[in-house]
Amino acid sequence: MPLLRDLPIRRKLSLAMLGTTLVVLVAACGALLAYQYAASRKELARHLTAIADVLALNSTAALSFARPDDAKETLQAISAKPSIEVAGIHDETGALFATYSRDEGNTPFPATPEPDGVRFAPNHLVVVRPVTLDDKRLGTLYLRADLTEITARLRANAQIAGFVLLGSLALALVLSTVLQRAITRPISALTDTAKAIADTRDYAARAQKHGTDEIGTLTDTFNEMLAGIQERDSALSAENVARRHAEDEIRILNASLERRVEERTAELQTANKELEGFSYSVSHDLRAPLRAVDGFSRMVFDKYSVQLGEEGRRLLGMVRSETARMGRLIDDLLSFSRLGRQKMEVASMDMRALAQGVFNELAASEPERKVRFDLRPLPAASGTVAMIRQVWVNLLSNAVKFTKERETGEIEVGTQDGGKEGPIYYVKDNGAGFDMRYVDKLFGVFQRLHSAGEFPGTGVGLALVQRIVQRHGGRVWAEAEINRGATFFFTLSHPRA
Amino acid sequence: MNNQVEILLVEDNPADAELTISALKDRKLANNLVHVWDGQAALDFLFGNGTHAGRDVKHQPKVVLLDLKLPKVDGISVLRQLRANEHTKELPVVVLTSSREDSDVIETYHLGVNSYIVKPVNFENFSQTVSNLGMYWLLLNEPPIVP
Repeated sequence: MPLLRDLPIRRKLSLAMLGTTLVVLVAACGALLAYQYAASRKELARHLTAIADVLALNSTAALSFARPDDAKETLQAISAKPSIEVAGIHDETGALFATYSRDEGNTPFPATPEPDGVRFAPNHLVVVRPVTLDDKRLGTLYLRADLTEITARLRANAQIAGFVLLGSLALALVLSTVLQRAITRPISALTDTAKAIADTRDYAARAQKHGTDEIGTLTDTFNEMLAGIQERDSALSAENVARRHAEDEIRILNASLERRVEERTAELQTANKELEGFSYSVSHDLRAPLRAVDGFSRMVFDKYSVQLGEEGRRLLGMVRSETARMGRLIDDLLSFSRLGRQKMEVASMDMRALAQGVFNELAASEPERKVRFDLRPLPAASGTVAMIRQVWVNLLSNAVKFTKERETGEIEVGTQDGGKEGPIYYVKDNGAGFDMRYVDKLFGVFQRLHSAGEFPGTGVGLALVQRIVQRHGGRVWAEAEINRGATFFFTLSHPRA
Repeated sequence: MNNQVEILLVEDNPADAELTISALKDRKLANNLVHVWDGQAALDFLFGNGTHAGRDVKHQPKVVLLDLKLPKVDGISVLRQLRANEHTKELPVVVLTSSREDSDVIETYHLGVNSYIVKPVNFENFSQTVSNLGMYWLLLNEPPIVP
């Protein structure tokens, strides 16, 4: 049995209307029937009372003259009214005087008179009237009638009421079916529209308004909501389209950027390779004639020494020493260019041992120099040994070279904490230092901050150091004061990198 | 046979040639030295062709000092042809070049060169190297015996 609240509105309305009609009709009919019944009883009572009075009147003679047969005759007239069951007269002594009985002797008759009045018993009406003549009570008249008349009428009325009820219900059914449409059609229309929109997501659709009642208002509100949703929906999809456009553009831009980066990288690599190749061949091709200059000038020096004389020998000596310098220049340039072509092999390096070894060699090559070497503990690093060795060679030989004016050269090598960069290695000397104003030029190729007369050198050493350190993912820098010495710092890539 | 060639110098650079010969002369090792200026001339000499037609190819030098950068036929081609020929397969060849290129070293050894010397830049070292070369290949080394 479906719950009342789950029935469709159509059915609810019909049921409501029918139910109301039914209840109302039943109530009305019931009331009518009840009134009729009551009225009938009252009428019957009155009627019978009247009959009783008439009978009583007619019986006075019989009672006065003690002629019961006359009384009986009179009572016989009652047979005209079939509903009266029994009738009887008691004389003034209370004895039974005369009786009438509809069904011969079947119904009991009270032996003694009952009090006057009209009484309803469950199935009977009892009327007891005095028989009087000139205010003298002669006897009592007793009437008892059954209620079949009333009940029959009641039944008939009920039947009629029943038919009326049914007819009215039928009419109510028809009417309700027709009338409920006025309410349910707009609701169903709204419901169907809502469902359709929910299924198709077509927010441009609108529900049709039927009338301006609450459903009309609901329809309006519903349509307003749809309008709102439609707006937001189109705004959203417009945003989506715009965003997708932007994403596409970004993707295209990225792709073109990547392409350009690739192109640039390729260009750079080619340029680098060309440069390195160029450096290599230049330094190589420069060597051959240099050897000739060196050799022939030497031969002149050896074979024509006497003819040259002192000045000649000095001049030729200049030629030879410049030739030697050029050779060193070419060597440095060559190793600088070769650096780019070298493969890096990463291995663990004992930095302290490396530095010590390099210093020992330097010390051995210049035994007359007094240099104090303070080598602090150095953490191990990873990198290409040959290259890092070159770094130590260049930095330490620089330190040795630039401290040659000091009585005792002091070189300190150690490490500082560089935080995220890793350990910072440093080489500190008490030598000539340099002017910090030109610190930017320090690591340029062939850049020198001192004249060749002060300190020999080609100006490639530090450029080489920078190149090597950078290839190891680190950086190199320096601090100095003129005549107070210099400190060179460098880092290598973090071991974990 | 005193006139037997002992050293064949294949060198296109006049300065380098003169320095080499001078260094050898200082050691008295240049008495039987022949100098050719390009690869073709070297092959002609060793195979007895062209301008050297008729030379007795049974008598080969004790060592060939071979530069790599030569006109006409370059050093590596000369070496390849020498090693391909019966008469010169075992001939001692010493490459004397300014090139330090890995590829040259690999290729020449692959072709069977006996030694690879890079010409020192410094004249003194150059002198010393050449005289060492001369001493080694002329005096120390036992030349191959050609049947």
